[in-house]
Amino acid sequence: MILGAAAMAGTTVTAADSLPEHNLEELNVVAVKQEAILREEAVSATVIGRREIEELDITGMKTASNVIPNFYIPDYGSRITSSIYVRGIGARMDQPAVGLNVDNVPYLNKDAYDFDIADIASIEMLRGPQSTLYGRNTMGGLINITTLSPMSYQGWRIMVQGGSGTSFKGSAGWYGKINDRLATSLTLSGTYSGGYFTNLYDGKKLDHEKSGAARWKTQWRVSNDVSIQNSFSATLLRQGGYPYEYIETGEINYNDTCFYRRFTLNDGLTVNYRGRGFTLTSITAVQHIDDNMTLDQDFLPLPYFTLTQKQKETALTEDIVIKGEAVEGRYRWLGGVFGFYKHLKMEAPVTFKDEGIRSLIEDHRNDANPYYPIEWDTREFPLLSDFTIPTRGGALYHESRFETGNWHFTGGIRFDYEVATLNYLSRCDTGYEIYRREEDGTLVPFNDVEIKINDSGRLSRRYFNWMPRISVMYDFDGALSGNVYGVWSKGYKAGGFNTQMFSEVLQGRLMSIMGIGGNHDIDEIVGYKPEYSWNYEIGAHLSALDGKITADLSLFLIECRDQQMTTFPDGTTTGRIMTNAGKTRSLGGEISLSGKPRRNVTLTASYGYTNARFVDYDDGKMQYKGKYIPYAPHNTLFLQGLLELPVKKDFLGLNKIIFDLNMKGTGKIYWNESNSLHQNFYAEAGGAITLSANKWELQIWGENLTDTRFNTFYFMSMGNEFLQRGKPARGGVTLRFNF
Amino acid sequence: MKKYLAMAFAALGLMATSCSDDPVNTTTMGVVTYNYVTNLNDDSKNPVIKPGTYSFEFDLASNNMTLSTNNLDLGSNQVTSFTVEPAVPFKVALASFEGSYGNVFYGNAAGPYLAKNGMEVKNLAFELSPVYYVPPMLAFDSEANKEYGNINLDYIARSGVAPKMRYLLGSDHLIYTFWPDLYYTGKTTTSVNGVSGSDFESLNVGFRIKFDLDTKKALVVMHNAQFNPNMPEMKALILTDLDVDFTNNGYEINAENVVPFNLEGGKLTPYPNFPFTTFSFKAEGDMVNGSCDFTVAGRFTGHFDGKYMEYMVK
Repeated sequence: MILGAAAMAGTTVTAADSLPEHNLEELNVVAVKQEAILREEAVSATVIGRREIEELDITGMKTASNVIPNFYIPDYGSRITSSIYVRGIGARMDQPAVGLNVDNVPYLNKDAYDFDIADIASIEMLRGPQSTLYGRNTMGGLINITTLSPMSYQGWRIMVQGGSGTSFKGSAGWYGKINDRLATSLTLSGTYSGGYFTNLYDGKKLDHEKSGAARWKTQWRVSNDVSIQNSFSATLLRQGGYPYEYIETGEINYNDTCFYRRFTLNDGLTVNYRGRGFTLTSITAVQHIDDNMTLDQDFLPLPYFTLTQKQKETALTEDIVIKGEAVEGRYRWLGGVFGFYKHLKMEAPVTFKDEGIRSLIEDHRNDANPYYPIEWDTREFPLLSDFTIPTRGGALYHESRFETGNWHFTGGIRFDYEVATLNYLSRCDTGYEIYRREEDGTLVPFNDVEIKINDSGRLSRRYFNWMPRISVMYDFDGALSGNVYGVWSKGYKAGGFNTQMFSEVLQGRLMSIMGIGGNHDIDEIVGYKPEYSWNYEIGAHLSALDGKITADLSLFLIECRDQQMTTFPDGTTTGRIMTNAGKTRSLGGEISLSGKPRRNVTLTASYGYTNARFVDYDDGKMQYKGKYIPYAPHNTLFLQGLLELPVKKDFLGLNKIIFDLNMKGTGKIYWNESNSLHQNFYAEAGGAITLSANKWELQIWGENLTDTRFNTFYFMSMGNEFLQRGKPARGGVTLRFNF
Repeated sequence: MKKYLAMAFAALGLMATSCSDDPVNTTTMGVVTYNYVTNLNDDSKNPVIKPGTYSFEFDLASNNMTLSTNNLDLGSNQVTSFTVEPAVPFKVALASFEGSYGNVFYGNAAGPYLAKNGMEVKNLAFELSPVYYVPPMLAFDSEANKEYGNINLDYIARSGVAPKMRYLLGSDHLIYTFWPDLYYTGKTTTSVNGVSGSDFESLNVGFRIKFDLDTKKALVVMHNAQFNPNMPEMKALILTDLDVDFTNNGYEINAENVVPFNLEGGKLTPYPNFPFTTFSFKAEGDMVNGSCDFTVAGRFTGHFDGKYMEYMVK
């Protein structure tokens, strides 16, 4: 942001001369650390280009789900829920399993992953552990989103869209070159959705949403050796969400408010210097998130209890990469240092309400002792929990590449050190009266019990990790060209503190004062360890018929240790807990095909298969060895056929009509560790007809055209089971203007 | 919840200095305990349970120990003292528990050893263990609970190691070390009467037995009591004013139709719908192990096995 202002403040920049220009696309963090063409790397990667992004109306990660093999993000809850599963590796809370960069800004907080982005230029998904080069929380892979560069496009881009569910989207972006070396863009976007699902309790739509975003991107080729890019973005969101259906009644029906509000600010400054025989890149990023999630935590039409989670987090990251140019064309290297600091403040009160007090506390207590029943002093009381979690860390990494003939050998190592601290303050001030039941049934006061909790403490965790990666690749030419490769690598997902467990801890304290149960050992329950994986993979990137047909294949085996699993506690409490589950094993394969059997026909297919099971997982009550890992789909499938028909007659500049038919398939998905509940494989058909001209485009589109009924999420709360349904058949119209 | 007095390890480890002439090779340990004195020749006599102290002087070079006491109350106004000679052989074992380490001094000698009071000491077995169980602290409002009499939940704390010792003094007295506040940890197995397959095991149970030696009554606190999976774990179920029968072979607590109390917010709440129809707690011999059989509300039948200290030496 500061860069943009300074650059535009009138600094004179001379025009480029005959020296080679600095390619600003190289300021993409993946291109900085790897080859710009990922198919020339020993990695399973999918790149979705701008055309496809617009064709499929991909505006964020959830809409990219299933297009990429073995990449699945269920759409449920609200935008705070970004539960990404890649090859059976995933996380539903706390630390992410997949890293996200947007214009080189690494998003450290998974709660900010789901947002709409206008004018995406490309999405790169690198599957398998990327921890060696990209560090913490890239155990499942890395997503790199690059927005449109003002250096490559100048003019206006306007989009308006209307669709079912009373949804509207709009964006307007101006892209301009100040001169040959300096370009900037400003993009504004907004969405409105009335929602698809109705809350029976008040007859209103639950999953309504309003959001807005702004992005200011500046690229400055300072000299032939120095380039600078800055991308600043701000987003604002207010939504309902949580259309959870109670299985027993088949209804979405709850009385207390659920909403999610979020404000984010992000800025990423990339400075690239090309020296003699090396390039030096610095990526500095700041992220700020301020959000509030409030839930009717029981999701029933009676006042049991509500939960609020308010967080404010600011993170600062710095990644410095130095890359040596090829030595005699055979040896290349890169090294880097990374550091980060993030500071999170969170308030997470749980409020017990009338029905919750009655059925969860009073009834249980009075059933156990009807001769001395109790009555709570108030019909509503909060359990308050405040947290401050500063986390900091640093890493050193290096990678060497050696080429001989058609062989490429790569070895890399990363050393990572991290310190996380949790300061907590838990409070509760309530109480109840005990009565004695006389022989005639009357109640006389017997005793009063005060419940005063004021617990504070500090916990700290330190983690040191090393993450190696070795790959071998052989490339070949001919009628069939491409490469085959093998990779061995280690992945790492950071440990942390399970703040949701504090409501359980506080409830345990409260019950302990009542004489029921013991106190929890906070240190034992709240902290969880890092998760590690060993990844073995072979694959190939193939092309035939001069690139008219391409195929990417891979087979993988992932062994996880101390895998972080979310489980629901038994009984009438709610909230999820994280445990280090022991060992899991995930094996499978992926295939992506793309072909142009005719000049105007494009066929795309991608399929992923994952068999992910527990090798050893005992939660203290049951052994789940051999069971499938829940929430990770066994299959993902994407099929698409595009037909472009040129238009010869001049009509408003129309030059072609594009027909798109596609299908996304997912499943089987097990919903619990015992594998007693599942969602079968389901498919959603989609399609679009696009009228395309030079300066405008009109698209009529439909999703889930067969109105397939499926569930995207299952959970339990207070022993009750809930599902979220997938969105029904829907359609709309999108109009784009570029001039 | 079990709690180990890990500080006792430190106490053992720190006792390197002594009052002997050889500060490097000897260590002296003073042990405060109670003596459970039985009369072998007269079953009608109740054991005499009185406080006493012992001094153990360990010669680490020769591995011999000198045992002495100066306040052994044998009852009938007979208080004696002795020092055992020649010194008794002993061994040292390394005990570890939850990351802490300490030495356990133990010995087993048939004797006879001539005590300086002219009596013989035979069949001496001793183990000074740093690991014994301490009950969890309970918030208790004694003012609010006055109507229940002088119930006192304060733990009678030991000041150092827990001795486990037994010896014959002369031809009449078999003496055990004892403590009037013992916390047995173990498990309960319960079942619902008449329902097959209803066995339920609870592994985290503690029975605290606090004795009033003057009135021969006991206060029993069951920590983490749970008798079936649908019942919540009760932090402390309290049975008061139970009769204790001290015998030459240990002690027994028997009671019928006892209404327990639950400790709620520091105050006792009776649970009349949950009476212990029968209750029988026994500890025999050195009384380190204890067991209990009970029935509750005519519905549950339960059994408990536990111990108040770990045996470090097998």
